[in-house]
Amino acid sequence: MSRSTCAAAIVALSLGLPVAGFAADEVTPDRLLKADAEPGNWLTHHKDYSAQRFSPINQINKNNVKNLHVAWTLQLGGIEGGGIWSHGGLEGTPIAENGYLYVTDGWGSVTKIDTRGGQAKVLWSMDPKTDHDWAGAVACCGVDNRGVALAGSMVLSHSLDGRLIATDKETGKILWQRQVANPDKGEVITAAPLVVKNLVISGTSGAEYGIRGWLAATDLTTQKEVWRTYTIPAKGEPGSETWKDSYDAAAMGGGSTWVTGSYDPKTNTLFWGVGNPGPDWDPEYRPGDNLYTDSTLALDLDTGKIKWHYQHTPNDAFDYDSVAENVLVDAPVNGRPMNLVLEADRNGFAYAVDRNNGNFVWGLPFVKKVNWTKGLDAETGKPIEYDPKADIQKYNAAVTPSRENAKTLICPGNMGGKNWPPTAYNPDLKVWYIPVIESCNTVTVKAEDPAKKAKPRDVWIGGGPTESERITGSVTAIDVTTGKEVGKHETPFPMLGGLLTTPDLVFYGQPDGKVAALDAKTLQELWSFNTGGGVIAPPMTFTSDGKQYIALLVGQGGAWDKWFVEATPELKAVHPSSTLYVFAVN
Amino acid sequence: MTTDFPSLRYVIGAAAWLLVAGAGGAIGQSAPSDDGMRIYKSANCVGCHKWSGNGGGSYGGAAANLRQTQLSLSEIEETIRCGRPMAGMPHFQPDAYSDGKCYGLKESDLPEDKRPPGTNHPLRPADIKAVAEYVATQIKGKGDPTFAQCQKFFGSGTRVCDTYATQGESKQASAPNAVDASSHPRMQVEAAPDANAPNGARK
Repeated sequence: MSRSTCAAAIVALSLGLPVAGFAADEVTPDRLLKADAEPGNWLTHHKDYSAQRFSPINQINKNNVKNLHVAWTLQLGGIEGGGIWSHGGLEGTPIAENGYLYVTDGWGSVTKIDTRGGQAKVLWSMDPKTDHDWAGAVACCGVDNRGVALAGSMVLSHSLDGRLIATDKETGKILWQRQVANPDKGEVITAAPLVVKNLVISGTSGAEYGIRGWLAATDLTTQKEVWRTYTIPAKGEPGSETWKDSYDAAAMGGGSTWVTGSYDPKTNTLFWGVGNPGPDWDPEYRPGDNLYTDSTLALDLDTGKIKWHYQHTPNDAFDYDSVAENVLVDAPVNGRPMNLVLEADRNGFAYAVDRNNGNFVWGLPFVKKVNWTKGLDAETGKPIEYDPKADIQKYNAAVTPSRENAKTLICPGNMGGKNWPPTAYNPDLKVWYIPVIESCNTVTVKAEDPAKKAKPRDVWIGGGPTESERITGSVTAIDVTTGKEVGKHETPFPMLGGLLTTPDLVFYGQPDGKVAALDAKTLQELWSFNTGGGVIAPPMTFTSDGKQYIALLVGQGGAWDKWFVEATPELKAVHPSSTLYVFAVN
Repeated sequence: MTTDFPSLRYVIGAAAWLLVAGAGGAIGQSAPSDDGMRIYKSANCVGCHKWSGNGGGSYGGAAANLRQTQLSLSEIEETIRCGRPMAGMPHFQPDAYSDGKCYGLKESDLPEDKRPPGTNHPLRPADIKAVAEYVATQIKGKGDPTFAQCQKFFGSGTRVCDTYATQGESKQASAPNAVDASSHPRMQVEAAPDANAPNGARK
């Protein structure tokens, strides 16, 4: 480095400005804590630790969004199949830092793109050589990877076959990797890693394959695992009494952690959603509430110890994961300032919980049709029919799947009122937007036999869903200060990709290829464009050379086109693809 | 235009060769069961019936266990050609219900929700025959899947067969190739102790 560039770097550093290719590009724990101080960057999976997916940048706004157009596209790879899957898809959120984008394809290849100068230049691609058949045979719901995390001068990513991989940000070379999940047990990884302080947190998928779920924290310096928290307690641990059988159903109890969580630095607490119990549709196999399945967990970041939990659907018979991101919001509720955790559950209800103690604040249905319960208890937020003394929860017994009621129509359907696609929260309007699957489907129960436990890597679901009617979608808006619905923008297809909000806009994509912008206040559509591929990934925004762009990945895949497409027959015509779209206004 | 003749002759010759190959299996052609395995993979039979043919439950419903099937070769072929009404098995012949040659039924005989699904990638009659032969000779009646059968299907560059390995034939057998095929060693999970175990009870 010449003396003048060195001097410039020192000046830039002292001003807190980023310096390309220099130490200031290191993504320090402090930069991640203050991610909102870099509005043009998207430094971590949900943009910041609160998981609000709100960008204050408003160069693109409701007055000019009608001029939004494709700035450039980039073809990616990873479309090939493996295991039970005919092709991979794109569910990732791009990460943006100082004009560079980091994106993943379904098999976990990472590509670094220089976006400066208004065009895409690929700097490197890292192919983790994922073991397609080993992983793809036990991936319940697609060949997917939801993105990377930045830490120091590393890009951290997961592979479907269970590895955590650290890649050099400059060269694209793998620096180190460790096996975190074990596909021999049915564990695979689709979630993006979360970096906090010197730890990187990994979650697992596999509740349909008889796993016992967990979260694991790896030290970035030693590359060793420092804690592992099981989402299904071991015998003798608190919560183990909620597995009341005599044949250790908990050992294959499910509880995946396949969506990236959030973090509150004030209390050093990690918030993470936990998925469904297994076998999914045979609750009589696992009497009890089945903690911590279908729960939000609050954990101490340093130790992984569980501080509190909030369970949404005890003894779940529906496949209603609570795996969704937990959005951290400080807002007054009915005039009283609150620190909230917001979660839009697959069971069709949106919840606000006090994030300091796990107490219920408000809840409401965000889908048009719920039939499995009459509603939530106003005090506890539990389904009204919940009986804490019962081994098996009946809820609305005419609807709840059971060995007696072995074929039943459930609303929401088993994909949920909202699946993994992320919500977005506008802190100016105090409005929370949910990407909704408006659905019912039919569940058939097949009793599992304790004497015939599934072998490792065998599916473990106790039945299965079929599609009995058309499924649509919506963007549903909730006023967080009251817990009331304030708008619903209906869409012809389910929301399989998630949302982004800016001061006056909400962006979404649809699995038929449409991308659209809504007025954040009225939910009126202001702009749309068809990408020609299926969108099942969330939009994000960033700046490059000071100019705002909207980016999203386009590549049909995931669970829908294999298991649920009969409910949306037009989507059979959407072919696999693998493209990054980037939009600008001028 | 005399220059066209050699190429035309070549085309005729090639077509004749293909006819012979198609009828009798010419030198250099792969064995029918290899073709069948290739089609079993490319038509994504694996997606529901699994590599082993065990089938079983899935998000999409339970697929038949082909290892335990009682169907004859011609019945297997018919099932692939025609699918199964009121079930998830697609028909791989595109116009299967046009002329009553599938179970004596035409499309108009079946209400929409009872029709077997179609497929975006239909198979040619010869492909249907080959994959039916593969199911009938390589999967049907074969008992529990074995490590050797799994490696025959997938090759040795993957860990997918490890759970079928018994001691001796085990993971080392595929280890060298696995390292070659992917850039990473066969790593094992080194998990930290259970963070929420009661004090002193960690294991």
